[in-house]
Amino acid sequence: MEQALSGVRVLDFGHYIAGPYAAMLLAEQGAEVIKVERPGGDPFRKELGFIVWNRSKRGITLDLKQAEGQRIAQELARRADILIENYHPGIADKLGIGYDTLRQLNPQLVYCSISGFGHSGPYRDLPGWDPIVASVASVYVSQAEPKPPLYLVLPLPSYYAAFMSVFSMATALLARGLMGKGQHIDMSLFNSILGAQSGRIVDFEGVKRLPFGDPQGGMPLYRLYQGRDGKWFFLALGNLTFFAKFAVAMGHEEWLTEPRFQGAPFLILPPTSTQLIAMFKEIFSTRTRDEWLEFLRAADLPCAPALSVAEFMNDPQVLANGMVEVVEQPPLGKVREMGIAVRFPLTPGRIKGPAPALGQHTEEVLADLGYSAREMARLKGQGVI
Amino acid sequence: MYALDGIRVADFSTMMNGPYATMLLSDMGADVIKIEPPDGDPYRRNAGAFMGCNRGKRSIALDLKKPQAKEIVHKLIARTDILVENARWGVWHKLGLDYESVARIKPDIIYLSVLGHGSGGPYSTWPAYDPLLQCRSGQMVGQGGLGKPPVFHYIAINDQAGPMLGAYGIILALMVRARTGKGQHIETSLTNAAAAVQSGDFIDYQGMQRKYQGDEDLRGLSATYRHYQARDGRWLFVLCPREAEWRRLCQAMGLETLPSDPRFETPERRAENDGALVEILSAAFQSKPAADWIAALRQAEVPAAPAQTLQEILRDPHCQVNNIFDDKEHPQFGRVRVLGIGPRFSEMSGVIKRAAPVLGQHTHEVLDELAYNEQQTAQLEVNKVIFSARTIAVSPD
Repeated sequence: MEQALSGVRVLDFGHYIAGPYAAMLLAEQGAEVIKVERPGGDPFRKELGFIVWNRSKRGITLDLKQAEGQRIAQELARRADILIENYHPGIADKLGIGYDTLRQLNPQLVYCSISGFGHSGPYRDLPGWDPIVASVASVYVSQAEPKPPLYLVLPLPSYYAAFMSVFSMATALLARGLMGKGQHIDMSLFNSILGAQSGRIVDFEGVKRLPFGDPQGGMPLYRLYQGRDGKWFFLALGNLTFFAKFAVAMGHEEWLTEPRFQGAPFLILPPTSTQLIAMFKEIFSTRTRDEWLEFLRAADLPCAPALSVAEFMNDPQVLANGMVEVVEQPPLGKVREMGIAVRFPLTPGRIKGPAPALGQHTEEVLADLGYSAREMARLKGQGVI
Repeated sequence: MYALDGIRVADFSTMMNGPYATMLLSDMGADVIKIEPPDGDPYRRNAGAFMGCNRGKRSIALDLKKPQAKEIVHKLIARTDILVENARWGVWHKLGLDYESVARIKPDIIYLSVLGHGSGGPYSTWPAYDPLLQCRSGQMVGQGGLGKPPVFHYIAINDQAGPMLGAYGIILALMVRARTGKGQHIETSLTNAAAAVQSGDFIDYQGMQRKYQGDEDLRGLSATYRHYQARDGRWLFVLCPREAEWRRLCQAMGLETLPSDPRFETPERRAENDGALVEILSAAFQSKPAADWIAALRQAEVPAAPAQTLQEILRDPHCQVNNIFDDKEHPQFGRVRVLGIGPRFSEMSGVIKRAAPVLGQHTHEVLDELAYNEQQTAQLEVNKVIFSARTIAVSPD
């Protein structure tokens, strides 16, 4: 069946997470993606996530430090609809694949640069590593204040940059249909992770900010609690209706009118919040976690157990959503990994195959460009491919 | 030009995971009308967060339980390209605003559901909030460490990922509509988003070694990839991706003998003696204030960054130069600063038409566009079918 991006050709010069992940999300909606790697390969080939971020693509190697490697890259760019690169700003130009060069060859090209801090402004030249961006974007401090900053295990700036990139590239493709030309997208991890804090990075007279800092949550009606058996669950009374149902279920309708619950559900502030958290901890320590979950669910209240990602991969809802797919990935064999997160009934996404081995499709792609076996042998000999 | 000029969006979503998607569309030029119940989107109670994901939109308030309100909604849908909702699965079926019903009014509509769990499956009718998926999906256990207290991420991880992916889906569906003339019902969920923001961990195969590195006091992953505290109490993050940066770090810190210390000679040796190295570096970082270290490490080309606070971000020079903020007058809150448009395009701009609307601010304006005359509108208001900012003195705060 035809897919949303059928016939769209993507040249993926990405490495690490954001660029490759974005290209994969395009591939699974129908785009033909060629991943171009340096002769030594994407430095993240050693990472667990590599096989997911690079599946559904063909892979070639090119040495962009050699003129002939640049020339092949330019030939590919001439035929592409989208190019993704996540080099440090300025490097793509030096490698002969900068936007100014390629737009001359292909004015229709949608060219997406993904960098740490963007291509302008005083932080342009700072190293774009995920934790450097998160640190500057106040992620680690905001998570833990007033305690010392907390390093977050998930590389959120990279992930959000991948999502914002595919949104932007699709928008640029749509606009290309209207304007008749491609353009450059300057996407950054920094803008993406700031965007993910849109509710906190706000300022006006009298703004109230939710109390964070407590690792299990600073909001008494919206935090982690522990049952008698020591197991954890999250209680999320996200609106006043849920709070009312909760008070009734708990046999404490008086909570609904007590001043200490003023600001419910989110804006009960210290010191009241601290006292309420202590009270609820006490209450929830009287039954096991599963007893509480059953009790809360019977009252239609939002709650969930704390599970590991391994458990989540076997969660019946996750399986019902088709979010676990099996990919035959050499040399690992059958790998269970994420499915397609956005579902389209008319134009369904699909995984096209495993992540390529380094240079697996070099000859195939060069043959498409009209290179003969002899020329390819010469290029190989010179270390261009 | 704006990419989504002339595209009309009916936004029935509340809280964050739907409104963030429609805000991204609004930023690209779409006309987004937020359709709210008489007491408003519950997220209005958290005014700051509400402002952050509703700027640029118009708001109308109506009581969907009244037949005349349904008539208004039907007229609105008949001229709408995109509908976004994020209610519990089944809510819109009861109100006759599920995809099938809506498609009868507007056959080529693109209908996005950002669900909590899914349209099928065992939890489909359960309520959902971002942290429930943080909790269930392994994100909290991953951050807190297996067998240790889970950690609640203050960033609404899934509430952010879902709408970003949903907005991508909408643009793709617009492309499909342009080719085929057909709309469709796009579905994503916090559950699916929770997998997508753990795509590097949501993996399983025979013989796989899963690492749980989390802890509620986690400062980093190793001595050369972590936070350090400087003399002035400020923290900075330092990382050495390669051997060269490690050597330059030692040089810059006046610890020239460290790279040849047998405990730290190779990456493997450093991993074995990580605790000892953390101790040495922590002590060494105590000799200068953070700003001096940042300057010295930049000079030495070692990746390092200050652990900035929210207040620092709000006046950060890079943000100022790059117009990362948007400042607008708001009818209720005065001058409001929120984040501006994230994606930057060379050949087109985005647009933020206004600050987040007051509840019902545009009820009259929109009804006028739907060809209701003043008399009809006044009557609807008297009958409490519609509500305008005039009748709602101050929106809940």
